[in-house]
Amino acid sequence: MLRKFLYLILLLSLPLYAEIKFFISDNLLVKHLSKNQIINLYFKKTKTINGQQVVIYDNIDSSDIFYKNILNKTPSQVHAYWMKQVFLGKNIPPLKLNHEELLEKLTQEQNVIIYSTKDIDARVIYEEN
Amino acid sequence: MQGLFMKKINIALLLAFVMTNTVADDFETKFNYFGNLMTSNLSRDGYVLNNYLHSDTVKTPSLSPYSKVGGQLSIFKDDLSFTAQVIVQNNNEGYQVKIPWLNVKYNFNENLSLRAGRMQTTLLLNSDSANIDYIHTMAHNSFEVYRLMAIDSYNGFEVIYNDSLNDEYSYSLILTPYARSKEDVNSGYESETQMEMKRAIGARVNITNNDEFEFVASYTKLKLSIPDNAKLKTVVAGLEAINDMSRYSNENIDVSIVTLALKYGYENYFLNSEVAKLQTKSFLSAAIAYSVMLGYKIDKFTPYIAYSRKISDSEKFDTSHIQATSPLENILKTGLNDLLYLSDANQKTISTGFRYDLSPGIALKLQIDRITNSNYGSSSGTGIYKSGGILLKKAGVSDKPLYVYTAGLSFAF
Repeated sequence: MLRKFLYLILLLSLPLYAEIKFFISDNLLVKHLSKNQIINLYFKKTKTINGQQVVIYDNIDSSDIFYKNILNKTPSQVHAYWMKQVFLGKNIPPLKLNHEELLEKLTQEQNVIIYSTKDIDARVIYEEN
Repeated sequence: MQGLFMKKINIALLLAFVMTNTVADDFETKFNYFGNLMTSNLSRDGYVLNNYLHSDTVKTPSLSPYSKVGGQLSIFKDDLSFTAQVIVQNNNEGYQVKIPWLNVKYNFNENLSLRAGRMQTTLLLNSDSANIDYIHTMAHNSFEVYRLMAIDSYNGFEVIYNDSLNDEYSYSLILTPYARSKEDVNSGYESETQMEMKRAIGARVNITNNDEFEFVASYTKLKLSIPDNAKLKTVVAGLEAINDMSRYSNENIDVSIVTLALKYGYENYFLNSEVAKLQTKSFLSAAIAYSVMLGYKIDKFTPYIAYSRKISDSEKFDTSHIQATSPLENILKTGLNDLLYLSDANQKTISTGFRYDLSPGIALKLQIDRITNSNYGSSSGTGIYKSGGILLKKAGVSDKPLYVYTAGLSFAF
């Protein structure tokens, strides 16, 4: 019984500690981004890397892990942040896409950054366990 | 003339909104909505809270003055954006429609932008988002600090400069070289007064790092008129034959406002502190107001405590220097004391409550405020309501603390 309970706890906690990776379009010459650069790009505090305009997309499947592990926020806090930006006419949140749509963006468009907990055949510019 | 000019600009903006939305497919359009479904209750009779009559609703909870619904249309196209926001709110005057945002913004580059049209003030941490309660922790902002300046929207221009200080911190400078506004604000028991703000200029600096730290400092200078204040005009006209009554003019009153605010988060704790000072030599009261709020985040649950205080300048309530020799002049002087008493808003509030995030976009809030008034000046009778846009208290009502209970849902999508 105790073992089953421990397995359940382990199973529930797994998604929160999943490895998250950030992938970038081939055309962008950046080798690595810092965590703060990722955060600033996601919150649209900056829209360029080395002078090049980039677009970051949100991921429907792994957004909770991204918010917790990288942004250190709950989904409600991230929603509140974007509501403030939207209602003050400052910015709109990154488009939230599923895995297939993200892959399509990464392969078919330029200057794209996506994140995922799944392995993707693309250049990694940041990863966090 | 300038008012007519700004009205024309607003109409032009509205038309631009509609036209760009209908003829251009490549414009990105977003519609968002927000609101509050709140109920509130006062512990005692004899008050009007935030433009909502509470004196008949003490025994049963009523739809709170914070209940409202609003919608916003945003249109983006490259460096150009339009914003229009409409709010419907119920109070003792019936349903009221406000348009706090109706503006166009152009980004010259990643750093510099210009905004023109109707917009909310940016004096404090939450001034420009004061109507979107979902994004704030508390059920309502501090009465004392946020109602120091009754006018909360204006027509004008803003020049905005944003840049990064380093990887973590960014700053923005907002210059308002021109602004004006005309609003009806509550001035007493079931009554409103038109206030007109002219020739306002302002500057605001803001330093932030992704919501964990924010510092705001602002300075605003303006001319304020209360053109329909017939009682004040009568009193001043009657007394100025033997007194210098220039201080009590209702036209082009010089007002300046300085604000400082700091938001700081450390692990699960966060602190919001704000101070605002309003300076004026007029029948309005110079005042200083401040608030401190400490919260603690436990996942979806955020309890908090807060303390707010507003202190009016007692000097303005002293009318002993005004001579009144005849019976008529004495009546007029009593009328002046009543008018001064009306804007006496010395008040402190201790608040506690919590926010519970039911899901992204919906939060349950509960707040208890313990409000204490203190008096300057004097009034002639119980028909006088102390105002100042905070908590209107009928003269003669005891100064014992009043409790306000507010609970309900805030949402934004």
